[in-house]
Amino acid sequence: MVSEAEKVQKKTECEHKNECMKLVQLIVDGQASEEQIAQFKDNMEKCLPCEKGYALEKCIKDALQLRLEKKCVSSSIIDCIKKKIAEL
Amino acid sequence: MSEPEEIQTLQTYSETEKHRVFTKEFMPHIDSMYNFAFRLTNDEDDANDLVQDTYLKAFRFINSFEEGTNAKAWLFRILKNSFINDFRKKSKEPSKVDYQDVETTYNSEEEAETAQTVDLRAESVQDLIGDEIANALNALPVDFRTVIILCDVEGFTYEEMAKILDIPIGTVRSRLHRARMLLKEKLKYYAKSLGYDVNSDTLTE
Repeated sequence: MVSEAEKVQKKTECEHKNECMKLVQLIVDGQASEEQIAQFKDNMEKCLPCEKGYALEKCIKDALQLRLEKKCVSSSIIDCIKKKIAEL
Repeated sequence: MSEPEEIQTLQTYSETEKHRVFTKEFMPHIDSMYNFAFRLTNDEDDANDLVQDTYLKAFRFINSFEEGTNAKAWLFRILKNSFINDFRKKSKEPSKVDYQDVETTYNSEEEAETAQTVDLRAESVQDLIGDEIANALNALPVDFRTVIILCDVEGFTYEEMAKILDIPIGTVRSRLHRARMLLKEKLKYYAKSLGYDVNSDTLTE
């Protein structure tokens, strides 16, 4: 956990925003290589905009996974499919 | 992943095997399929029809599915193609598209990695409820909604998404980036309506 005092030491402007956000997307989606993960961790310790960008992307992804209602099919539709398949 | 539309008959299942493979490989994914169909159509009846169409097609083309391969991605591809080729044309509710969004996003999909930020903070998103998240998602054009559902809700990899959507992986990445930018704009609207100053992490009321 990084303290508030340490956060103050971080960069408040990111000069590589495009590249960093591309990397953040790969990290959040679990598509980054080991090398990219290491690069991301190193960057997160130094750059406040990247840290906040990651927190936002992760938060939105979590919200979509956890807070969006999972709709389930009704048993009548399952029965209907099985019936039609049996008739083919 | 074999493509049913290509009608590549790779397997020769007996009738008994067809039913066994169908039950074992396809039926476990039916809730995910329905959820995807519902998020595409925003209508329960339409989603039911789309799922039924998909499963009947899957059975008809079952010889082009190799048992033990990625059944979920195979089914999602059929459903997506059914939605685009058949369903969207005859849908009673034409898809509601913000053409300004589409124009803005598609005109520059290949330039999706240029610097763009939305003034929204994680803290503002944390208080949004499921309905607000769903409304924001539903407000996206269907192609953008699709990549977010496949990636964030269903957990497909970029490679799987590329196969499901028939697009290169680079386009998956850029479309996802664009989709998330648009979603953040929509979420920002809801965060503001909750009284968040989206730039400062704090409630203004």
